[in-house]
Amino acid sequence: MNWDDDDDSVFEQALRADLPSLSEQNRLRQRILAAGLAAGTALASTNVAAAAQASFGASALSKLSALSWPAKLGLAAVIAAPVAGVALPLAHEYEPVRAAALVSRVRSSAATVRPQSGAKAALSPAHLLPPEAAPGVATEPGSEPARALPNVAVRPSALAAGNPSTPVAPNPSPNPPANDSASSAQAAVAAFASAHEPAASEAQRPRDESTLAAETQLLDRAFAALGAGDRSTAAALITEHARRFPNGLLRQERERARARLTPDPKGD
Amino acid sequence: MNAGALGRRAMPRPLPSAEPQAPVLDLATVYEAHFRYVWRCLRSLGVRDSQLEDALQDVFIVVQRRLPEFDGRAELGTWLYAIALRIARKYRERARREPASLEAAREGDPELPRPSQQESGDRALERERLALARRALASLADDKREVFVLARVEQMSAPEIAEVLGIPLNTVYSRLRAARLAFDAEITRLRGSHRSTP
Repeated sequence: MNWDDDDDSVFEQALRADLPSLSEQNRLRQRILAAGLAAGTALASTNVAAAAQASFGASALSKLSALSWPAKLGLAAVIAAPVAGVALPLAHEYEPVRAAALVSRVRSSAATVRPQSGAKAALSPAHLLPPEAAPGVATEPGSEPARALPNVAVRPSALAAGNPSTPVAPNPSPNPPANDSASSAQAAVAAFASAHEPAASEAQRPRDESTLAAETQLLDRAFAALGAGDRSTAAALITEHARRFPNGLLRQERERARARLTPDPKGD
Repeated sequence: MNAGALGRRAMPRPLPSAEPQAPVLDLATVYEAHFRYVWRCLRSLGVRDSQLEDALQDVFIVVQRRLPEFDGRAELGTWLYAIALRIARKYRERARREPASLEAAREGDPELPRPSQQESGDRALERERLALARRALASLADDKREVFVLARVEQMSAPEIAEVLGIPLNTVYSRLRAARLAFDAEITRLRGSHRSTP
């Protein structure tokens, strides 16, 4: 090999030119968009199930374009990892970069949604369109920035009921009274745990839990509880997050949620 | 490859507005405009090829989560690089904890493309250059590598790098200088060993 015409800038140029090939670009694009479209499907199935059990196709795309970002975000986080096998242990230590200067805070309230198991299966290659083929996904000029969708929030009972076969974490009060806030908080945590504890039997799922998705859902529910004035549930969920993800990606959000728990420094 | 066609600023700057305002952005648009450069950045920062797609998706999961909060005070490209940088660090840290990955790291970069005999001479030369450059990058200490990649590959300015890394401007310059020296030395060493290889 003749290196005589090489110099350092040539090597730097080689690094700058090291971009994904067209086939890689298409694969990457499909992967990301698959997560986004799956989010739309899940929301359509979860949020407006009674009103819209229409076929996936165009109606799902139109629904997706009308969704707020928190809904897409939470759903994509929940679904993207199983779809892609995202290695999220790395995200434990993620720190917002110079947060004050570069990254604004995540909104404290967001929709809590749970994808239905059929959402991913509903995807077909025909739906994995590049953005130019799916303009409803690519642009949404009227999209509303992050606002909570309280009607989307999944109740603890719904979470628990949605996973009857999943091993249930120890629960000191398996049948809590509906109006007992402490018990309902425990139930909320237990329901979350039962929905997210790794299931050894699910061998077909290479990475059976998305850390970010689990964190997102847990904290979203904590914020939702805070927004509803249910401080005991929020405290329990925050404690659960701290226990499971002490150095999690969303630990700053957790601490902000914790700060919202009180005036009373002793908490609940 | 038309490396020269890549401008001084490889990452597009889509937000020229003078006043920080909340830009109307959606993930698909951001992704389409930037994912190639995020991919390159992750790769240059030492994320292994086998984990590159996961890392890229992690970046955009974070982007999706935080995009509604992006206020335009920083450039979008800088913001993305900052996220990519943190994700890349975590992947590197995890790789180092894995014996196989450590072994791979010591080999330089086992996932470099291998030139085929059917390739043209120019294409083979490009591949070899890239291989050497990536090996030289892999030899740098992480702090120097990050500065080098952001400055020389992603073409960020020193103040932008200082902001992304949270370090003083002088430190950016000193790290860049040291990185450049180490990179050059490694290139020289690798080229020497390459020549001596039959």
